[in-house]
Amino acid sequence: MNPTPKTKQHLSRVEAVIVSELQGATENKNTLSTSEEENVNKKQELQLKVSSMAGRRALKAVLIDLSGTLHIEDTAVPGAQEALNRLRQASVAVKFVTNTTKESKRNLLERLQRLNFDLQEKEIFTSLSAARSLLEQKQHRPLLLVEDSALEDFTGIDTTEPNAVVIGLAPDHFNYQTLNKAFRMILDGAPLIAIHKARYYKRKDGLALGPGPFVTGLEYATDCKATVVGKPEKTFFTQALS
Amino acid sequence: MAATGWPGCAKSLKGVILDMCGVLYDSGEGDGVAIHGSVEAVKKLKASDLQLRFCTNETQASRETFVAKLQRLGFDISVSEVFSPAPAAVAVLKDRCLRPHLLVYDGLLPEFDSVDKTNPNCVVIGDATENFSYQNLNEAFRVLIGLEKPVLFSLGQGRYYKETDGLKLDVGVYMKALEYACDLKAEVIGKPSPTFFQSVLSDMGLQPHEALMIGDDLVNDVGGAQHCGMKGVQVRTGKYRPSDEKHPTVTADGTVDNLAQAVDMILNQRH
Repeated sequence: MNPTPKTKQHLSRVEAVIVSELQGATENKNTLSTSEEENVNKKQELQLKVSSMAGRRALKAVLIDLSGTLHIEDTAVPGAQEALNRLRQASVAVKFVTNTTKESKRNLLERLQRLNFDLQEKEIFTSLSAARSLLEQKQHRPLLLVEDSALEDFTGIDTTEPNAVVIGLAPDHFNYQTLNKAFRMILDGAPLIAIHKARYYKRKDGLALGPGPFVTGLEYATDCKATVVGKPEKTFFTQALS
Repeated sequence: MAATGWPGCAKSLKGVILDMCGVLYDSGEGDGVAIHGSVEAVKKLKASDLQLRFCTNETQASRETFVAKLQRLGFDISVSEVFSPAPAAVAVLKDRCLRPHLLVYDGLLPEFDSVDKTNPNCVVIGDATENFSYQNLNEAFRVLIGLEKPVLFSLGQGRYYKETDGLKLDVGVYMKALEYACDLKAEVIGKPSPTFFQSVLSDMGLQPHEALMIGDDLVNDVGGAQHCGMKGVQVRTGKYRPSDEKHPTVTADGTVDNLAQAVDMILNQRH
């Protein structure tokens, strides 16, 4: 079966993500060209790179983005399941990475399994996982300003007498009182950890403020810099590979 | 013109500008609390030959309302001596034919009664406290993001202020939030905008070097005043923090315990 043009494009994206992320680059996959011919050439070039790297056993792990790479909303990208299966046959570890701040790993797993992707929950690494990993590493007790649906990924973390502030996409928590509480904690020395700093996102009823503006406001109020743990920050990748 | 530092510079002063919250009183429950010695200090200044004005970024209430509050706390003060951002903003809006979407404390709304607020083509934010809900901020954000030429006015840019129960986030935090969300720069009306200080000096008929500003906010009161050519003294009351005395960019001409001490030092120089 000849791969459809869409599959070729998809495969080159997956392979490019592999190569670029292994090289430690934080280049956005949006810089990939979209023309068919360029894609085929790039794909061939990358396939050569990947197979030669794998051949030299230089390639040990592959990090694959989710939204836009494996699936778009509730539809799989055509050929992606097959591409993943082929990748599994190579002797590399595979991790699925995403910047979600609302969905727990379990939610993501269920959605991907419904789309016939072969993966396990422990292979999923989200920006929430990155935050958790950082909290565990530094033994912080967080004030978690994240959606209820994301709290699941922090079970087991001690949140009594918090000494760190974690901010995700949490409109319910972005009220004056809660932000004041976070502000006073940071002034007292609590580190500020941001899942990511998106300016806004699209909701059914229009555009809505993301966590970025609130993190920026708190940075200004306290004269501190937040540690951002989502892509494309270095922290995300070092935690994913640790 | 002699380049004398504090307190020697007090000899040649012709006017004093006082910040209000954190210098005269601390806000909080009800009317708040007068800061020890401040009522007497204002009396002494008024009895002297120095001109006196009050310059505040207060935006929770109209001038009439907060002057009445200060009078209840014992201060000798009148509306004509007070400069605050809202009236300055109203003047700017009218001058530039702008119709604002307001995100301010309810108590400030009367200051904007004479302003056309239909079909807004700009956003004005003040110290809205509880009104800084996610929903209200989103609304303001949507107005801005929907404008071809978004304009955001921020009544002051303070980071925080002190109330009797602790420090609270000020308008500047939300200004930065909306600036980041919309990728724009806000126009600040109020301290430390030079235009604002200049309007006070013009009212006093004084040149910058003839006036001294006393405030608790190192960057917005002291730094703002110095930027205009005035001397600036910080008090250790209100939102003052010890780290202010090691600030990387602003060095106060003098740092005193409170307004009472500042006024005694000034008047001692003038005998």
